[in-house]
Amino acid sequence: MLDPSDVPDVGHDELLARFIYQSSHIRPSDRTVKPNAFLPPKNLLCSVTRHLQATDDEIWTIGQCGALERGATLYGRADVRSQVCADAGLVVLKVPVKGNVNHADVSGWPDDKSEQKMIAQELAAAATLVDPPTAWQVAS
Amino acid sequence: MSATQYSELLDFVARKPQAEIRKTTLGHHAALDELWNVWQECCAHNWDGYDALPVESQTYTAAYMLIESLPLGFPRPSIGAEPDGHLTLEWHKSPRRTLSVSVDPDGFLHYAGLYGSDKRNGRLTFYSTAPHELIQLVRDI
Repeated sequence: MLDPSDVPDVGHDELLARFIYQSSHIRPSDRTVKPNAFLPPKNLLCSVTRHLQATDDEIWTIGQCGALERGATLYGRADVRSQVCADAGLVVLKVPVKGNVNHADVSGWPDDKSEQKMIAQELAAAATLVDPPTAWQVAS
Repeated sequence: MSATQYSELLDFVARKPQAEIRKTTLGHHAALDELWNVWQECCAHNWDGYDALPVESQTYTAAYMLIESLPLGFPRPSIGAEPDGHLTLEWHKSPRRTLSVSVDPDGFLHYAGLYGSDKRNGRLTFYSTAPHELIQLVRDI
């Protein structure tokens, strides 16, 4: 994980993880992620976790802790490059939080709903869905 | 491969597309069932773990009416929900040939689609029949 005392700005080609806590955000037909998973809440900030200097286990642990805090199920994560966000006119800002120094927010979303959806389509088309570790799936 | 095996393979290949088409177009029951299930999962606050608004009953009713108004035999949409409480009908062929239509409680449809390198987005009004533009957007996928 990143050093909390020296968190760098988000680079142009970092890998970002969006944890998925809602089953309908995943297409069962081809195991891809729907754009809905990237649409921001009302504050227009889409919460993600940076892969930078984190192991795969650490990334999954953050996602699983998030699930426990929410009383939710972690269905997977969608990995997308920060460059894809930038190409869509979005800005990724470092926002370290307690328990996740690698946390960041994807900001710069337009107010218009259909434009938000268009951007979310681009992110989803470029994203890779990663299933949680098999051991966790069996355990849950 | 024997003649019998070859014949069976030809039969299988000929039958499969028809079966796939039937599975994805028959009536609206499957889509309405999925709509109900998604609504049940998403009618409480924070259903996505990111502070999503609940899907209200008016939105469910609007989405139900929209599905009911689609022509019989029309490709079946996949149902989803969005953080602002809208419901989604999605027609998806591939990552770059996909259309997502949001239904809001006021009868507006917000859509965004990828058609290869082409993109289309905008807003339509839904009264009681599926807008012609929506039908065309789906057919173009």
